[in-house]
Amino acid sequence: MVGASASAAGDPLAELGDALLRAQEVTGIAPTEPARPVYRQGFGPRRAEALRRLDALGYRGDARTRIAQFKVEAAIDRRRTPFAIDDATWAALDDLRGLEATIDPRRWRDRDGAWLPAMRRAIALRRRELAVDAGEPMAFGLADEPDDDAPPDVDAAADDLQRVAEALGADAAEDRVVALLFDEEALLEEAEAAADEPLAFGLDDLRPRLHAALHRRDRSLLGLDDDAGEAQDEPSAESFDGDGDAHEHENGALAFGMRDALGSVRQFFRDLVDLPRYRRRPSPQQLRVYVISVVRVLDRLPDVGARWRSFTADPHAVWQGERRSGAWLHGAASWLRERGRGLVDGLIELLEDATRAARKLAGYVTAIFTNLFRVLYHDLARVFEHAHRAAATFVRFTRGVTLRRDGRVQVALRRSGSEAAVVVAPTADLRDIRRLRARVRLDNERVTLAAELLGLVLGITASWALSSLGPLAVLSGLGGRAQRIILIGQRLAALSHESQAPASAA
Amino acid sequence: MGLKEAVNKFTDSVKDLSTLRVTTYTGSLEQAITEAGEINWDAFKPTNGKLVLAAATQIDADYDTTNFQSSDAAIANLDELLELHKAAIESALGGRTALVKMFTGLLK
Repeated sequence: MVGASASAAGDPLAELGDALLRAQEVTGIAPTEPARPVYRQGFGPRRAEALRRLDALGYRGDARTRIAQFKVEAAIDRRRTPFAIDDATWAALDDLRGLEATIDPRRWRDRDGAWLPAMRRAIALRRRELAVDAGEPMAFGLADEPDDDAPPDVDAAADDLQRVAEALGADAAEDRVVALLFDEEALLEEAEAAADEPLAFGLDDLRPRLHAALHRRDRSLLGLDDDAGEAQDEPSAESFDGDGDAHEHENGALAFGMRDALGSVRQFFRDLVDLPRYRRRPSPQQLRVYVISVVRVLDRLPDVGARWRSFTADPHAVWQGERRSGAWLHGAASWLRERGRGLVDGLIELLEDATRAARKLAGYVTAIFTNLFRVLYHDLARVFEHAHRAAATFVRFTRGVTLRRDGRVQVALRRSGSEAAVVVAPTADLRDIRRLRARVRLDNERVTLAAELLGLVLGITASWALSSLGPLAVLSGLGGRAQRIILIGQRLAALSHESQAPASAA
Repeated sequence: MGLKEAVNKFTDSVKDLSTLRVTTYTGSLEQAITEAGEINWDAFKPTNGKLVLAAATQIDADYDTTNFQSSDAAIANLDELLELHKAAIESALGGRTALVKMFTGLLK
């Protein structure tokens, strides 16, 4: 606990940093680490997960050594944040270990077209995880953690890919194999086709055997553990008058409620897991709308704080399956809409029905919460990142601008009190003056957006009593405004990128 | 500079909304900018002989505005400096507007 975070809010703007730190502490939400933090933040959970992933990839030594070596091997710019889990580092680790990545092969090749060392490690690790080399078919299985602690052999990438390509019966084109290796949904789709027509594939083809393991893992990422899986396969709803056959209602509104609870909830999950039409990914815009619904759902349910703490205590629940949960939510919205239900009311009804049948459907309740929480967690992590960028923009604006050329200050703008001064050196040329003018105007646009964003955050944090802040207050407060904050943050980020482009500096 | 320090500095700058003053100088920066990159405000006196005032603007609370623009032909790139000066005024006003916007969030 940080001393400052326990203080009551005084000036809401001056206390903004403390409020955001406290919000991170009570929710466990960890954003990526900025190059130059302008207030204290809690990065622990994300950093811990990053170190777990680095460990799996075979990086050894203390945290700084592992992070620095990974950045070198993944061709990540280390100049600004050599030991931080910044945006670029997290994105790279998510590519290699998130297993939901659509890999851009160009990102992971060096100038000569060879795979970067970090990618070679990841390929070797995936070969091991997919049990490509298992001699006995029964020995096959997806391993959550590598059985062998030995670091992956980074020099064996070509052989690894060849073996994986053979085992998958895939086209030997490396890019295709790599895409399948790091996108388990794509691999599952391939495996499903192979499982449906095993005779059409070679005897050595891994995919028919892979199917069950991938399917199990897919269900696990959707929050369905084995118990829930077994329950799902039981004959339906004898304890509810045996009238839980939701198939009959496929084209009409389901009669939700106690009587049909078991059938409805089971059908809901069966359809979302098994039917491809419910597995489509939402657009970012659609997902933003869903987040608003998620907040409304959570606002209306009891015990959310306890469930949230349980969710954030499980790194597997938090850090894997973000894309899956977004697709699950999209599928849930479609499924409910087809039955005449809105997402908010429909989910609440399902949850209430499932909760009443606690013994049989507890796993499904957990699964629904896991998916809702996962979507919200990553959205709010972005809110914290955008809030930090806005605060940093504000600090930079206050600091003023100094432009140098040939090692000397040529032009500068400074602010103090109600005064501002521009100074231009005799050595400054037209280009220097125009650069400063462009920069001043750009900073003006940026601080306007930053102020709008911080204003939205202030509107929430000013109402928080920091000493008694609970998770639900943060989820509800920030979640309700998350989409507006993220939209403004994206515009601000676009302006920041613009200012870094050489053309805009001229 | 952290957020809290920046906030204090910034809010100090707009507490007194009665006057806003923007000045643009040319000349040797050695005296005006410290090693740490901070401005030495004492150097900004027209009498110090090192800096030449190119433009000055004062905006009062009732929007009365006083402008000075040098016509000294010896000042290089004077037109560009005046454009830069205008941008600095917009920036100073923009900063105040930004702060108002931030606090508007508190009322929503």
